[in-house]
Amino acid sequence: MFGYHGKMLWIDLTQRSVAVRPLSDADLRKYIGGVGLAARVLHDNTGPDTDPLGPDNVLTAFTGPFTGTRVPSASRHHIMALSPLTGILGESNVGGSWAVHFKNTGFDGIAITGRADRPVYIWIGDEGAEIRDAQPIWGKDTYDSAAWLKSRTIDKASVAVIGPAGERGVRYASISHIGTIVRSAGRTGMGAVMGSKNLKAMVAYGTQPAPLADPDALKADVKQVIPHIRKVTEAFGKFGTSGGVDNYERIGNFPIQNWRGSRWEGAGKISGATMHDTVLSGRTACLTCPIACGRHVKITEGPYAPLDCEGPEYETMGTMGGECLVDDLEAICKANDLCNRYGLDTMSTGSTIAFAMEAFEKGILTTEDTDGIELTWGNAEALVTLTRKIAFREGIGELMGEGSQRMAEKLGNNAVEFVVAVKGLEPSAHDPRRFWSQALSYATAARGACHNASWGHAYELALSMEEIGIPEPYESYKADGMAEFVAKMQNYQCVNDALISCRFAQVGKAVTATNLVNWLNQITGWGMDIDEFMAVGERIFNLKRLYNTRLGISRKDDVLPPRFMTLNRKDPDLTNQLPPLGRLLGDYYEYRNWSEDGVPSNRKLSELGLDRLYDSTPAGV
Amino acid sequence: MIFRFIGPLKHLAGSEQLEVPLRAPAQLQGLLGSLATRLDRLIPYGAKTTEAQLMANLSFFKDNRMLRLIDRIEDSDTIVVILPPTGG
Repeated sequence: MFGYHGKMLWIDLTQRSVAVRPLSDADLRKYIGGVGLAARVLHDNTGPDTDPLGPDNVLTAFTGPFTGTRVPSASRHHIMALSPLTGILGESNVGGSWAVHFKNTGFDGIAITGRADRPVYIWIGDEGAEIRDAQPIWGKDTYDSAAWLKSRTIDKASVAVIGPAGERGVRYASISHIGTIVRSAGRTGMGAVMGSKNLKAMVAYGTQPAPLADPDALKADVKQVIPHIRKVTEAFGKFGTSGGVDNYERIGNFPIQNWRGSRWEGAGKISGATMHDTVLSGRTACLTCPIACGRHVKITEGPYAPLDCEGPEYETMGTMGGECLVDDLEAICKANDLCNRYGLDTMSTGSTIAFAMEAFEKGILTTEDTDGIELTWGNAEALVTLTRKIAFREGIGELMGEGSQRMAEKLGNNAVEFVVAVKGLEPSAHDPRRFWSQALSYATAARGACHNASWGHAYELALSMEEIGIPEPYESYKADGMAEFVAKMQNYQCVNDALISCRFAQVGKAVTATNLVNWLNQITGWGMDIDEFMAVGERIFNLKRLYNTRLGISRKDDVLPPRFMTLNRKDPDLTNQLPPLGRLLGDYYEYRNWSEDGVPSNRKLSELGLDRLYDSTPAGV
Repeated sequence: MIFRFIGPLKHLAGSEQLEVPLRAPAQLQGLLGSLATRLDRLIPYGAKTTEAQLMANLSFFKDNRMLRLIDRIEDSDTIVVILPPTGG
């Protein structure tokens, strides 16, 4: 077996047991790794009776065949569990160094179930895994905890750790990954699942890379591609993911004032170029990544000083900046740092604060509810204060820690009319009125409003991939063919997340599907072609849908919030862009060979080799 | 030579392409003025000074090869112009 170790860790915290389970050759080729194997583990071990914050939930993380190899921009892993935020499939894909250090311990993945009777952490090294006491760091922030954990293991180790937010069950608590750089698994509350298991951290360091089928061919191939990646991503690396904030505001993709605004002059004050010229002190990169899109910022004066930490990226600028109308870059840097430190998803945090600001404006929330905070648009100090309150569930933070959808339902007063979430997940900072591919993808993505499920905006903007049937950038606002385009992109991003390769390697067509297939074959020795490769993506996407179907998800849930469906923005250039979701969904289900209710057909499941999962599908499919 | 606009740039530019006659080959840098002055809505891009700053907002390709500002352009060339994807 090449490219894998062929085994995973299975840890039951209730029993305090550590087991090793084999991964079969057949399953590896069928699901490749990352999101694919994680989805299979989640599907087979949780379901409608599982409590997301109960001991039966399974938190699983998988690397892929690219992990720990020379393949650029591939130091990522995929985390999955039943989400406490949405109640359906939860997942988060994260970079840094943890994936490589974990895989080098001799395992491809890990699954954790049960609940420890006191705080613990899991140490994973060359000799296997151990469950150890974490009582001394329960209640500590992620940075202090990581320092303590490294002092008791290996300084070179990578630490996946939760902060106070995860311990307190904030439904969008993240998992901070701290090695030489910091990256967060932010979305869908995976940190709260760890907290519910009394699991403070997973610490990994190993020295056993998986063998490769043809390392010389891989080395030569990658060597050719690296200069091209460096060239076409030069600006992306220099200005970071928020380099395009100005552009996105100009074309109507940037979220403004809880998604009701059209234009915002503040965008320029928080763009990547502004950050570069003001608070940026350096760039950071995940292991093996030549792009280095990560930011390091330093602030020495003013109300948020001192600050010397990871800087915010685009989605944080969109949610904490644009959605809240906060144009104070240093305040966003501070709130971003608090999220990393306390273990919160910046996106759900920013979006929930924006929702609260609108509720305050409408009088649904008052200063009596907000602990005296004037929750006005653009209030930078409120952004920072509320971030901390949410993490510790203090005062109004208790309600806000439930996420914007639950918060709206509890507030009543028609607050659900202006909450912006899909299946309970607050959207990424890409407006589906500008990119209809994102409208359809937000509605159908397994975890809710996720831009990464299709990354369709990038392929409407500029990218193309002939090998998978997208020879030109997709024409915006063209409903004909949109369903096929989105489905192909979703399948492609699924297989991408199985390998695992970073989306940003697609920028400038730096890395193509042909590159990925070649590298996969050089690593595994499989001889896979592009059709089999894309079928893996389709299989994974359908498996995730099947899981959600079993939890009751259907067409009734594949909807967008009223703000996206009915609110025409006032700027003349941005009007008449409301997505025709009903028509797009019909086309989409038909293309996917799903029923009119959005349930994968038995014929499709059979075609994808998911036959033995039939029993778990609802009757009447 | 022709600047061919892709995606939302077509809307910003108000057309699918812009023709700029060249009497002699010129560096791409020297053509940015034409791009900016002839298309009002692209002026903010033209005002960017450094190459990296420009390329954070606009990218130029010829035959699928990304261009630098010092690259020479001939009258027979078609240059594809895109808004480069960014975001998280």
